Amino acid sequence: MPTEMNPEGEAQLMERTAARDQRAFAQLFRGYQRRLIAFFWLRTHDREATAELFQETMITVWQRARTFNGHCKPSTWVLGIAYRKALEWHRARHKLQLFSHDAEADRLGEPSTGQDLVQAQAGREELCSCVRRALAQLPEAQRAAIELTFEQGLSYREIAEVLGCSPGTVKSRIFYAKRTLKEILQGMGLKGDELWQISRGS
Amino acid sequence: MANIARQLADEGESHRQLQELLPWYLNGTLEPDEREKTRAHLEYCAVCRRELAELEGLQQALVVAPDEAPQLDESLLDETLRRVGAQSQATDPKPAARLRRGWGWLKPRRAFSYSLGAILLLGLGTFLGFTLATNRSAVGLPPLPWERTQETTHQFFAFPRDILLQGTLTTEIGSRAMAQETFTLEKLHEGDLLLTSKIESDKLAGAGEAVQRLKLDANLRPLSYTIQGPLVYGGQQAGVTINGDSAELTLTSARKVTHRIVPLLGQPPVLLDFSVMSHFVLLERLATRLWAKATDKNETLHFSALIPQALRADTLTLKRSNNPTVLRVGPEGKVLSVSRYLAQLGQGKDALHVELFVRKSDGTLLALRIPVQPQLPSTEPVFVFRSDLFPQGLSLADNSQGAK
Repeated sequence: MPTEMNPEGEAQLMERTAARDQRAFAQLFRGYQRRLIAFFWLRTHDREATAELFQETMITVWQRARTFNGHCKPSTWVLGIAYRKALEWHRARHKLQLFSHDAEADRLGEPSTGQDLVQAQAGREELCSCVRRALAQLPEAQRAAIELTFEQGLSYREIAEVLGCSPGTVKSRIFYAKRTLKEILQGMGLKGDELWQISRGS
Repeated sequence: MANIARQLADEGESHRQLQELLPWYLNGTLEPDEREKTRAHLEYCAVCRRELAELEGLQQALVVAPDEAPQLDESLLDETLRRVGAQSQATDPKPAARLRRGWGWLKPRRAFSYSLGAILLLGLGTFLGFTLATNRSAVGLPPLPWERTQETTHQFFAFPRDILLQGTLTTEIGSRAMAQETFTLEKLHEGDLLLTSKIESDKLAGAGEAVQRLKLDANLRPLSYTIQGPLVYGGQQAGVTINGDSAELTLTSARKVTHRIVPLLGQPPVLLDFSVMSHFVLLERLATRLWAKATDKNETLHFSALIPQALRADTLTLKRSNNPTVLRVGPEGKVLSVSRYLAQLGQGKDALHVELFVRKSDGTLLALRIPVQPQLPSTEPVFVFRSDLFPQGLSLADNSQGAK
């Protein structure tokens, strides 16, 4: 579960950042560093992209801090910016490196790999890695809902704020995302009960 | 039958609704009533228990261990600050404000070089019992960026902070501008003040920042001070804790902490350092309050001047002068009739004299003058004025020169 800054203190920091207080901004930067780096790392698995996306997010926070009107928690607002940065990155990357994405998908889709894992009584770490790769194949909105819930620890109302949809949509997205995830895992040659296995600590 | 069918349908609907809440049951963000309903449902619904276990697996798969995520350099923050600093400068509509703002701490500092100003400050420093650092290495490492306080800018006006005083002081020796100091006095909490002074000078190669936090009681009586500043105090942090009729002065440097308990020589105590001219703004503000309460408006006020960076206290008196005093705006502008206060630090032949020029209408300190005195090295008087109020300049009109 991510450690959060005290929301009141955070709102103050946001106000001071809006008034161009670099010291307050530096505090926000440090406060969000661990959390946003985990967020971007999970999506990119690319050290440079993670650093760049985190920096871009914080610069946008600096530029738009004046427009933050307190209608939601500062962290929800910041994550909304981070989410849009991640989307932009995925879109740009998709355009540029379509071929490598396809290659990766093919590799993941090889049934033998999955079978080997099952036969070898794949370790927990390997299972986690499979789940993450499967997650990468989910539609963007479903993936984001899952990450914001389980990695960032947001409530469904906050996620609705970040993704710009209704709370009901968030709930059904995760419901369907999980179902799709199992199908992807099976498509990778796994049994589809890997989530359950992970939870049992196998 | 119809009732049972509806009941089953209701339960089915309820099961689905509660199943959809499981992700947030797991991450602990449900409202209390939702949480309770979900918990109760889980007790008898095996499907949801299995679902919850799978979600737990999903959560565990997504945990990014601290050693897994890349560790970023400290330099990323510095670079980001540089970028946002550059952006605010590029979009700043007021060049003058930009000049004052200067994110000086982002630039490498040049070595402190001697100049008339430096010698003057050094002289004052020696008088006050301390010596200014003469090179950058002696100044020590600057405070980390997030420990610094933002200096005064016009943007503070749009800021929901409680700014009590704000201004710019220009120090001139003869007719040469030597240094500029921007200052902001803001109220942090009741009785908790923050004075931020930023000193910039073309003549003094280093730029200094003095940040002070003052805790005051209801009568504006200081309870404690903390001070820090890389130039003025040679990288040392000075602190004062006032305790009855004595004060404990502390000087903290990277190497050692020095304490000294000094008696207070008058009430109330004030903080004084001649390199930070905005101290006089505070002094004047305090004096105006005291005279407003006094029965004799010409009473001499007695203060205890605390000079923590020299680990000493000295007497400070302030009295009103009856001599008419006139300041001139710009080289040939209009003249202002002002009140003149005479401050004396110390006693006898070693005493140092400073004149304060105050606007009669609202008690604003407009200018200061440090006359030529035997214990000071400068052969010309030092004149300090509020350059934000008088950008065209301010000087002592001829008929007031030398009046005491």
